[in-house]
Amino acid sequence: MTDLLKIEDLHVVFSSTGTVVRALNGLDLSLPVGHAIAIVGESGSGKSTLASAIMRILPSTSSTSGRVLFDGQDLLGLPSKEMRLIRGRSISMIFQNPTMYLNPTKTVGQQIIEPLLYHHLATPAQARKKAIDLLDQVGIPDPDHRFRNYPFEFSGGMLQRAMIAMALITDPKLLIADEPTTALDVTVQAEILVLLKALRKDRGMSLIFVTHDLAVAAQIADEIYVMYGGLVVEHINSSKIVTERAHPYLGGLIRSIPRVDVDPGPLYFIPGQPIRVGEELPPGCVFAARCQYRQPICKERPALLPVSQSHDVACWLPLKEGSA
Amino acid sequence: MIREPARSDLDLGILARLHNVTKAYHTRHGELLACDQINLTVRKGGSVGIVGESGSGKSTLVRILQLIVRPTEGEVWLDEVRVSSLPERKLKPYRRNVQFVAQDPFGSLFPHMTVIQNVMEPLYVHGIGDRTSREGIALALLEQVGLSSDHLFVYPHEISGGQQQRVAIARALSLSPQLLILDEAVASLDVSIQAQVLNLLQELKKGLGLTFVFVSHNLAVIRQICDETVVMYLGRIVEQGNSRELFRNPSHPYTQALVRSIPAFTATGVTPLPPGKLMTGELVNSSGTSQGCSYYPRCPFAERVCLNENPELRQLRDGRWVSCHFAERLGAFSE
Amino acid sequence: MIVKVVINLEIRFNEPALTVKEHASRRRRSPLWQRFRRNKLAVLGATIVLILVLLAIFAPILSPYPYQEANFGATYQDPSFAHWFGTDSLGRDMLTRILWGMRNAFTVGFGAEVVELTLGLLLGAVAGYMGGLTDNVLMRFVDIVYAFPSLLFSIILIVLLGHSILTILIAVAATSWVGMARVVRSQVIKIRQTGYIEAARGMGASTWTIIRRQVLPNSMGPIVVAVSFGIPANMTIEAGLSVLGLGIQPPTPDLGELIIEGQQAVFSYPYLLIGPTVIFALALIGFVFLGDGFRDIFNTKSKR
Repeated sequence: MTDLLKIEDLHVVFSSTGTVVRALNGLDLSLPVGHAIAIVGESGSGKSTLASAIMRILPSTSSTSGRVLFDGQDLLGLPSKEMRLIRGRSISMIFQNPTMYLNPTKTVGQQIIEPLLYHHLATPAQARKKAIDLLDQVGIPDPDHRFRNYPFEFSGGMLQRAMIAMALITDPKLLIADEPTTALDVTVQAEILVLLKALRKDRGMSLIFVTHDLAVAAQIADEIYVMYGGLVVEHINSSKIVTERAHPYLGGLIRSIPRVDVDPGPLYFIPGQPIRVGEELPPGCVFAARCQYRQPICKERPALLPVSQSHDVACWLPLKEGSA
Repeated sequence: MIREPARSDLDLGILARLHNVTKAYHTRHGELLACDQINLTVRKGGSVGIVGESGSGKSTLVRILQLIVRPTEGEVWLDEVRVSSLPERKLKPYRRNVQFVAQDPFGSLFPHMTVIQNVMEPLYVHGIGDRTSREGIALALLEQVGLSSDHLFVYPHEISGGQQQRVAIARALSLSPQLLILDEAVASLDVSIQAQVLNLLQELKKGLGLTFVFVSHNLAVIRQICDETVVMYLGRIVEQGNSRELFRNPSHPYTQALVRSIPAFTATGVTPLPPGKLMTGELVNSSGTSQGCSYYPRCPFAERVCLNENPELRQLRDGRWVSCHFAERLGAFSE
Repeated sequence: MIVKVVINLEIRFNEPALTVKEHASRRRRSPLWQRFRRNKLAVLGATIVLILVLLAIFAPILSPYPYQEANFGATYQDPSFAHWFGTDSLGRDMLTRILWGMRNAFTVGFGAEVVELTLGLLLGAVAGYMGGLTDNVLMRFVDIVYAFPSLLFSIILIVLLGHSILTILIAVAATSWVGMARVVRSQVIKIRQTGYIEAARGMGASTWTIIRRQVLPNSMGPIVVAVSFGIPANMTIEAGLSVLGLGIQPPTPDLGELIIEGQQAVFSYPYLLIGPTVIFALALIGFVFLGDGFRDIFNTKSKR
């Protein structure tokens, strides 16, 4: 299966007056065509930086190195003009808080058709028809009328659906979703996830879903990349996440999430704090300071190595299920 | 003071009681019932979880419990005193007994004061002790919530979210309140930190006999630390009962939808996404209509009677209260 | 009371509990000061202001001659070793007159600012925090004062009250305080909505306690900036009043008066204008750099 997106050794560094922040430290990732992957991490892990780096919308204080191969082309090497042809057309992105990413002075309809008009893919009349059709597909009732509404007339969940419509109107090959459901009610979140899954299947579209919620990641994606300290520490199939997880960080995360099928007792938690943005990375394994299985060998940073089919771990002592 | 010694709350171990509390706001579109006929009892040493999504009225309910907002109708009883009838200036000693931890820890801490000064502030406001004794109390509290001595003289913006939340908890405990209200207190925290704070709350409950009310939209978190759960929808209580039981056997359609939407891990993997439509349509803020069931527009089981008659909150079985015409029938839908 | 419970958290740090006094020695430095030091222009401004203020304070000691001493044998002298800034039409030493002029200018500048600050803080904080009717009434009052033609008002005040430094100070502050009130009010309104103010109310703190302990300390940023720009503004107004003949009466020197005199003789004796003008401009620039510096450090802080 060919990879739609392949990232090799991605480094992103932010430098502003005096401070240097290493957000990504050598990240590798591959997304096969038509698949959905989830990027999971806590704050400071670099997951949002990754999403923005792929789209090349990082602020000018950043410097990126490595390769981001999309359909064979290295996006990082493209001149801005050509990148703009890809952005919003072959790769689309949706964000966490739709109210912040939509213009409050324009109707939702006007904004949804913008990508089509910008890339000269349709006439305004055609675009309008397609937009209304899409509003219906994303589950917004009375789309004709809603087309003419302003963002403030939508609820949070509806607005996110509208943003999805805006992202899909150019029929992109890849959709990047950066924490799209984090700010939504849990029932609305479930509906949006179901919607995304259905749309994906209908269009054969690939999806990168960034989230801090491991369970949501497991529900929506085929493969999960767990990030910590700007690195991928584990890459695993979502169906195997509980039974075959190997990295202690992933194990700790899963065990600290309240379960609903067992009697509630004291929760396990990973001691210490996640690495904060801007903190110096330790020389060895980035997780060693908080790891209960720490060994002398962990003073050297482990590489991300395959443990089995579609399963890579960056740890010297990959654990079998149950022992963590 | 207005007392009604008819039923002794103290004997029953009841700390706080909301009796038919209603809060109405007047907007351009008519009257908005943020809370509609809420009846709630909080027992000493109990842990009540309030679940609701946006528009459920849980924030208003919390403000009423904190005595910041007065109900339009109904009564608020605190330690056998009807505090809802007291004038503003007499509320200070009662406010002392009910403390609050907000969702955004950074926003609720005083940015110009150090951590220890933050924790001491409530004591200063109520004129408790002198500087030395206040510092001693603050030190003990910060130790209790697990903050090291390194963190005493730093400012809130210099510590992490989880640490900030723990400072907020310590500050809330400084007045030895009888009731602690936490409003989405772990929602903005990372998962591993969330677990630390939840554990801390459980320890405090056991060790200090702390009574708390925990508000969240996350049913799994509530099930984890609250013995009793109250489910709210558009200003009304739709279901209430023992947390574990409620989760295992939700009777109200909304509770069922909530339970099915929660992504959670089991021994073998993750819970699947709910099939098809959980609820029809979108949340409509028509909470002015007190005629029919507030869940009618979205309920997959709705029938004619639901449009016309508002179901009463009635006892389904021991300890379980549901507001639905078909609760008995639907209770069998549990997984 | 608090029951001390031993909590078995894995994250407890194994340090012996220090007493509060020992903790105090670990207090951190103020990061604001360090950030201020990085801004070169601000430091320059602060230095200029500091030097000029010191000169003004010690003017009586530093002046080589009494300021009113006329020396008709040495009129219109060019700047020389005996008279660094030359002499004026009456043979008075310009350096002395400039020093004393600065002294008066700063007195009015700072003094009026104190009055403005007091009035502005009081009205602005109360209006901003209380909101509603109180806010409305107070702000309408502020609007009325604001609408007064300030120069006219100052003229009337001086005509009524006389030409002493105190009355000039009052005249300057009389209409300028409204700017401060507005700044304070807008800051207070912004802060009123924060989570920590709500937390303070939930704690049971009274309105006055909240204003005193939470609102005002957090409003300091824009207020400090307003003060830094307010002082040069006051000084300019004062000089302006002098130009109109309403300032401090001779023989007490006044920068405005010196500038007018210098302007009248500029073609024959340019040094008479250059001296006072340069010093005055220097003072204003110093305050402006200082104000800019303050604004920058407080802005960065509010970005969290």
